[in-house]
Amino acid sequence: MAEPQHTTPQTEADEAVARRLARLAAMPVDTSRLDAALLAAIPRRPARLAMWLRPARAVAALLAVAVVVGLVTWTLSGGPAVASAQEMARIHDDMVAGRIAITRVDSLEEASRVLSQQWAEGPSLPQMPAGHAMACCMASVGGKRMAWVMFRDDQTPITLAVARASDMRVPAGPLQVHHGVWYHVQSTGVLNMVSAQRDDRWICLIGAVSTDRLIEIAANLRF
Amino acid sequence: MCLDDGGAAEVRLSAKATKLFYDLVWPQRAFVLRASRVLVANAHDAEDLAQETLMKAFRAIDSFRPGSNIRAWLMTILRNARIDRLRAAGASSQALSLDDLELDPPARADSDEVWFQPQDILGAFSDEQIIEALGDLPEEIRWTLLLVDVEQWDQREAAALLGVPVGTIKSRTHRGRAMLREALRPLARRMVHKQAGV
Repeated sequence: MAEPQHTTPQTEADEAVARRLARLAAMPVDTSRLDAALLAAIPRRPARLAMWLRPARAVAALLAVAVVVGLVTWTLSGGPAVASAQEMARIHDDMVAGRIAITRVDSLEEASRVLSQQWAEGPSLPQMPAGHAMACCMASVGGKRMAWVMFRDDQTPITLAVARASDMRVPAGPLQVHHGVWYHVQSTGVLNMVSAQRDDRWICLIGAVSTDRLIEIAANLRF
Repeated sequence: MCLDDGGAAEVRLSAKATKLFYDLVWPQRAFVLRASRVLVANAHDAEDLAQETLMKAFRAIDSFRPGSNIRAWLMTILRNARIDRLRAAGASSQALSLDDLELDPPARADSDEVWFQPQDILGAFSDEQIIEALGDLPEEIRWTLLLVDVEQWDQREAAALLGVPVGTIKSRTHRGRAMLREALRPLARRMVHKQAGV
């Protein structure tokens, strides 16, 4: 096809259309249903059968089972639970994919009301500036109860877990300080998580965003 | 939302493919969904197309060359998935026909008082209104505007993906912008009249 003569210079109207179309590249999209479908079709963990067929993985699995048994035993003894990245990520994924019972909510206040009915003596949720909670639920890690709230940061689902500070212990790992608060930083797969102790609460933010962004969100929570 | 080609049962999992998928493709899912929305005005259909594209990407993840452009790779898969869908729907001859594209742009596209201040008018349209108007354009014009104007691809890259000469991309870009203005004309006219208090 011969090059048309009218392509240069562009008309003002052409440029206006081009600029307006360019804004579509930043158009917000809701990926929640897509996320749920993909997570259901492509589990992050390999098939169990394949795993057992591989000796190295079988050994690793045995070690993992031993660790889990040890943790459960230790937890039942009354000590604080370990908030492992894998366990927290599993609950995050289950919540995002709707694989566990959740309650749809429209605000953090509504989430607080719902959760307080299920855990009256639990720690109160922090306030989130301009926060828009989507769902909440209760879940346990190592036998210790946690209140979970899911919201969106841009289009990425983020979960906030809140537990009693005395109930939780974070595995040894890197720390970051931000505005005088120390945050434990963990990651597994595409998920990052930051946790911190605030007053009598232990909080953990999880999502497929950078740890800096999670810390920024955490720093904006009001206790 | 439907699962692609029989769903999860057909997906053969391997730890390496899964890790590559979640490391490379998963962060691009909003990009794929957004591109699908530009191509397919119906939001539900766009989600299905995005899901099919990402599932195909998972199955073909071993063919992705590390270091190359993941978005270009995904866009190629998206294009193939879209063509397959159009063909399956029996719409290929109509949707992919380019015969009508050789015509000049609508003569009145730029001559109306509606477009006296195009930047202001176009800026007032919502994303949904723009996408709906794009839905009235021929498939290949939509692809060209998606690549060149939305994603800001180089015209040579767009030409390579769409399998046409660079000159065709230039022509379609100009023609598509004029056609989009024409599709938006009724809405723009109402907006101008409303602003003028008519």
